Amino acid sequence: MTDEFDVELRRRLGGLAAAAPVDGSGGLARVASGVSPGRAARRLAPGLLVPAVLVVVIGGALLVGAGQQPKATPATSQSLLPTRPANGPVTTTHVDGFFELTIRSEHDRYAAGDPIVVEASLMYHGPDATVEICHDRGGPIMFGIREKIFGAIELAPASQLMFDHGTLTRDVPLTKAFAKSGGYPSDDPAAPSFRAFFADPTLRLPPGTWHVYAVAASCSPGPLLFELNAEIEIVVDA
Amino acid sequence: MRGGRLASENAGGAGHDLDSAFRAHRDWLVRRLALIVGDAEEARDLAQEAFVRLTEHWPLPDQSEPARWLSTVGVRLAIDERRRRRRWGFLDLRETDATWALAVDPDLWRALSRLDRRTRAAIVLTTLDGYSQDEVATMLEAPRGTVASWISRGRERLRTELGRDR
Repeated sequence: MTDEFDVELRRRLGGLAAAAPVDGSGGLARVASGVSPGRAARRLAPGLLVPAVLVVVIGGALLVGAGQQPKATPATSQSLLPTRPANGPVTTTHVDGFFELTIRSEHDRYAAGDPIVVEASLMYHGPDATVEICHDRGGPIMFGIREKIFGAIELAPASQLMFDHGTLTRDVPLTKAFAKSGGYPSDDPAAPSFRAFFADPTLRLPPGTWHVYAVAASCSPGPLLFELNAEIEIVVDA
Repeated sequence: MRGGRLASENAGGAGHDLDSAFRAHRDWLVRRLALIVGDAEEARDLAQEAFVRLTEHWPLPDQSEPARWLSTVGVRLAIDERRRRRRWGFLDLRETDATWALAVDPDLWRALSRLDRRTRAAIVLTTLDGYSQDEVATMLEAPRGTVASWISRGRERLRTELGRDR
């Protein structure tokens, strides 16, 4: 339904768009990778009250090789195209009070099928020599992965509701390697893919730009000491 | 209109060469994103990231027009709250330079700035670029009815604030 207002709005939007400066001082250098200091973007509910398991699957297949994208054409030296920086380590840290969660990987790019090595560390920097923390059965640190822009997959961290306790020693990191968690309906058409994905403890992902995140939260009924979420971006090439 | 006005305009000139696609699509993508995010600098950054993704997915599947693909990725990046927080979350206050917009159409700019990003994106994609509501729903990964509601409410707010309440 196009009326006079729509016509005028289109004209004025076009005028505004045409005025936008397309060449800033930054030029066409490159896009920053996900190495910037992190802030909690996703809040984990205290206690992570997830009965049994939970996986949010928006579609697509997890198995490496499924839905692979064609190889990108390398840009020439004359190209104006932006490129990603070198394949270096990537680290993000989120601090909440006396607690700090760091997630890291040795590389921010992997080839499809390669094992993706990620680990996270939880540290306490408070005044006490040690501090008791409460967590669920999955441990104080859990991991998730998501591919936001193309809406392919999100695996939310999940665990059984079992309240465990642990101790953090001041300035001593508690480190955990990436571990898969989650579940899926047995009648899901992609169930065979998920079975294969979870059967392999190693993280391998299809081509794409993935966000791998770690979460840590002290759970109820204990005091809510911290809620942490640290995320890195991993690119998987075809 | 199906496929989007700008998508149609730009698809022909881009060919299948990645550099050509960059030259053909980069500037209009920055301009579209500037309307949606309200900041030319952020728009340039988003366009850069969209083109990085394009290089990683090139060549696109046969049916994918670069303009549509870039619009989709750019807009999704623009409304990705996590990404915004990663970039700006550690700053208490950030000023945007809207001189260029205020010099051209300050009333429309201020009215647009009172809409949320998803609504601005839906209005820009439909009104300016000619995508259908179904197409925008796919691009924004939202139900069609929700997109229709954003557009309807957004248009009414714009109509009121631009003095066309009738």
